Amino acid sequence: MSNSNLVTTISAQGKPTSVVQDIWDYRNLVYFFTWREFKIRYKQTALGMFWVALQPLVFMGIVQLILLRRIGNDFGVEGVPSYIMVFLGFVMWQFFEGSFSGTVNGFVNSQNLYKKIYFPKIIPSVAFALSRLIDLMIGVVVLMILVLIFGYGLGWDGFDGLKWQGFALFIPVTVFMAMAAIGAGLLFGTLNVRFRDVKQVMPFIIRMGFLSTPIFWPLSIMSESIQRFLYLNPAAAGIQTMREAFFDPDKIKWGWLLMPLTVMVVVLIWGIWYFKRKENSMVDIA
Amino acid sequence: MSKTSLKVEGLGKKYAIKSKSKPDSLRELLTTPVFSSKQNQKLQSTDFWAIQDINFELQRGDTLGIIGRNGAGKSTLLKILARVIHPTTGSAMIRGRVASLLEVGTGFHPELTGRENVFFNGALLGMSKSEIAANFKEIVEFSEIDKFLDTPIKRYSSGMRIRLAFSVAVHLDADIMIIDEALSVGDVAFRAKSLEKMKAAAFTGKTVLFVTHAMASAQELCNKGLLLTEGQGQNYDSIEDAINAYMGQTEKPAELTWKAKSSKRPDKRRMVPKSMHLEINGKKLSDKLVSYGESVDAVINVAIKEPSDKMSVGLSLFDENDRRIFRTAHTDNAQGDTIKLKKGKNSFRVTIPTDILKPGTYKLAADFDIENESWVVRPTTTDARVGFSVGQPENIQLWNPKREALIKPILNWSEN
Repeated sequence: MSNSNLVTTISAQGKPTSVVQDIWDYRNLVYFFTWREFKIRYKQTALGMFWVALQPLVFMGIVQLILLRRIGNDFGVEGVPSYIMVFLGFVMWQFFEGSFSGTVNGFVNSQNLYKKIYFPKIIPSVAFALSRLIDLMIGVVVLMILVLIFGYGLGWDGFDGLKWQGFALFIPVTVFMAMAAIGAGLLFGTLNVRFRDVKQVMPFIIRMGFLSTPIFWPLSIMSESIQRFLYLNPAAAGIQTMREAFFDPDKIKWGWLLMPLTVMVVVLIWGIWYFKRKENSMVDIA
Repeated sequence: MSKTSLKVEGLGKKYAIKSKSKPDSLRELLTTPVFSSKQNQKLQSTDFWAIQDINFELQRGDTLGIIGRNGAGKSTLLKILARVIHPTTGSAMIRGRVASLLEVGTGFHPELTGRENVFFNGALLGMSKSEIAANFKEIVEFSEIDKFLDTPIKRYSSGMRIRLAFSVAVHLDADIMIIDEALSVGDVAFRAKSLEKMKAAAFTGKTVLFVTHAMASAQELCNKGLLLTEGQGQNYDSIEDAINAYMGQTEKPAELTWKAKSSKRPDKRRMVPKSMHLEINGKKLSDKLVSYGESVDAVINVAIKEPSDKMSVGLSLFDENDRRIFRTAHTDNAQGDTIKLKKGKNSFRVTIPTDILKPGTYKLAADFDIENESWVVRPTTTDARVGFSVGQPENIQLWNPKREALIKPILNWSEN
């Protein structure tokens, strides 16, 4: 169990380790952090994990009853009711938002841990995103059940089943959204260690993101140029692509995806670079 | 087997400490609003080296005792080696897996059950899932909380929580152990049990770094010493040398003089304490480490204006945790008659046997009393103390210094 060939070097001028290496070396801890995060969230709740499904269901109902009558409910796929689209949009947004804010608050919230025991400080962030992934998967299962009951069971007019593209794209789109969320989270989270102002503006940022992302409204109500602009937002691009992939894959705007991909890569690299530059001094400042 | 397991070169840690400078002028003081950014600009940043230029090398199986006063940089050094904080200068090479026990119960979450917390805490300390599972039964047995394993630990008593945390920590398997003795809290019996467990680990060929204030523990556990003084390190090949050097600089000197203060209280002018020092065989104590069994004499000098039977000179012995072991006064004399106080200078010699004491650090406090009137110097006055340290006995078998007792007399045992 002990490994005396392992050599660790601590150096003031040492080259920082790569994030990928950190996560791989501490994958055991990633697992335990994720597991803990998920456990803690629903401890001492009467409904437990049902909350994961309940929130998007309630949201879906309210939006369907009140909002969509006014702003139009044409999500562009014949036969699929708007509430299904709202449900899918909401669970994906929750995943994105949860991963983002989890990463932002992670460095301050886990300071009592990394001030006492060493582990790469990115581990809790990755674990946050992964625990949200469990929520997302439960959400997708509920979506399947909804489609099964209402779509195949009751029979929507013109509904011709779920498309395989949806399942094929689910993992890549999720990874893409997670990376964008973690990248932005690292940037804001690192800044948050020094300037707690970030924490103050976070609720505002998240509310703005929620409103400007096509979650409870169809992207098609916007003009095409605005749609292109909204695609810069990885969450918007991800949600819209998943809607199209599950129900009408012909509509996927492949060409448009280059923009959010670029945004994701830039944000992720920038986030990691900034985080790595500050990682060692976090203990002294947090 | 003699393989370098830890090599530290030029290690240093600098902090910038900010202090508010005073306004340069009255105008500045008056024109600076209470909450302005200007005030922040007046913050001065000064460099503070918590530790500086620390060098040492340990072979496999070495146990290093790191000693020094509060604020000398002991914790900083340990934290750098545990990779918790990043050094400003220098480097360290560590061969093998490190277990750092700087604090127990890190990552314990009140909502999780004991079982769940054991797994998470173990993972945080660097154990794999299978390792924790393999040790699980032993951990639970050691902690004595098996009945409450599936209860959230927020319902535990603090003692139970600490026991559980400790159990996980002491079951860590590593090549290098970094231990801060300050972490040994909790119930006395359990603490002793844990320390035993750690010592057992130290004697199985592991490299151990041990921070302690208890010289007796250091002497028992360590072979090498590192003495830190305000961030500067001094290496010693034997722990005894390090302890001697440390005792030489501890707050409690071997000698003490009372400053002549003119007091308004008349009683304080009637009895004026002068000085106190320690002697061995008539010679002043040079280093403060006393061998076990050697007798220490405390010499107390006091000036008395009007001698009275109500006056008494006392002496109290405290252990390292400030527990009073005994108080004696010149009025209870083993040699029979009470010494008569005389006008002018009085000098007393009290012999303290060390063969009733456990190895450790002790403090002596003199007190001066005028019965039914007032204390001239109370026995509780902490700044009027001298200190010494008792070493390990050599020729006694089955000696356990952690025996739960204040004193440790060697009595006559015979067959009856």
